[in-house]
Amino acid sequence: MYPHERSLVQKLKDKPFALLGVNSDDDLKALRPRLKEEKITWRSFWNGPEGTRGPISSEWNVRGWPTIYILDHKGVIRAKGKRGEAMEEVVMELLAKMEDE
Amino acid sequence: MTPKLLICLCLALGSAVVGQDPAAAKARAEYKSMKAAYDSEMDAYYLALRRVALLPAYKEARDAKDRDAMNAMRASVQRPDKRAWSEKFQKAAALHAGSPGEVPFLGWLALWSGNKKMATSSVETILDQYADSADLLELAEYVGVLRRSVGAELHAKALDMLMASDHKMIKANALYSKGYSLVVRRGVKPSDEEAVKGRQMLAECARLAKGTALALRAAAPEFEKARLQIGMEAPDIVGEDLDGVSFKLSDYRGKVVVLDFWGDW
Repeated sequence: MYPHERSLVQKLKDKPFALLGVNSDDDLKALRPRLKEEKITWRSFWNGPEGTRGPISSEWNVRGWPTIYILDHKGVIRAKGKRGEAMEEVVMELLAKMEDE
Repeated sequence: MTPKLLICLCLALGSAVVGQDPAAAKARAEYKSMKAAYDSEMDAYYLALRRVALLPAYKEARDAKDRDAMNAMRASVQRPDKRAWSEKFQKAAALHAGSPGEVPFLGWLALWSGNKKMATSSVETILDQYADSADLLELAEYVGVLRRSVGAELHAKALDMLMASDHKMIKANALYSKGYSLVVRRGVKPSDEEAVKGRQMLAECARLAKGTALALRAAAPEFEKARLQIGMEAPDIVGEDLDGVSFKLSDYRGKVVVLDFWGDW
């Protein structure tokens, strides 16, 4: 998953786009060196010390990782569960639509 | 009475109740440290595997779809000795046999030993002697694992026992597990009766566990239906980033956002 996310963030760095994570690792201290190793530069909420059972994923009914939501520039949910190429396609469509408006 | 004095008095009373059985308290502490050691060995193992995946040689093998080479590199990482760990937990349980101190160890064996015989006898002992124990929270949190570790019949018995517990969070976790399985049945549409019963259990769980993430999880199937459908404005998320800086999802209005629930595993 990481390579695709990295390339998307790189490709869209000048566009009105953000990749936001909700990180569900229970141990932040162990995660920190991994962010460097995997070149994870995007911002994430932390789901807390309960890990996958933390409050954000709990509220959003997340039961599998990764789970992906795509929101448009108004904060409206436009896609759920799209990954890889399909995710990128939706993002590009939404960016194009936004420019048209 | 000053509030401070009152707090001291309450703390003293509280510790008197909890500390009623010093042997059980000691066993609980032993369990905690043994489990922490086991968890950290497992974490280190999975971390080492992820680091293998970063090696240039591994990437080459992956690009070449050379499965044998990939497996060989993964196999070079020492896997924790699950059997030795199970024996260690079993020994500790035996040391406390017949007293409540054995409960947390039995719970571990039931869930994580990977040994059906050990798991079955542990669950049977708990059912016979420790149905009201306060040390069954971990078992309640992961009760679904029993379906695999001891089979459907004993899982159902354990679940009934946990749902009847006097301890709020034990009961809440068991209600969650049962309620969720009734509301969301994989691949099958639940009957109306089941769905109603399941929703009642989830509501009861949310009430008992109020203020915890479990309560949110119990409300989540309804929350997703009401608030997380395509075309709806996403509910805000208020939290902290990995550096501890507060921010909100709604700070990103004006941008297309991919919201990715991820973990490093």
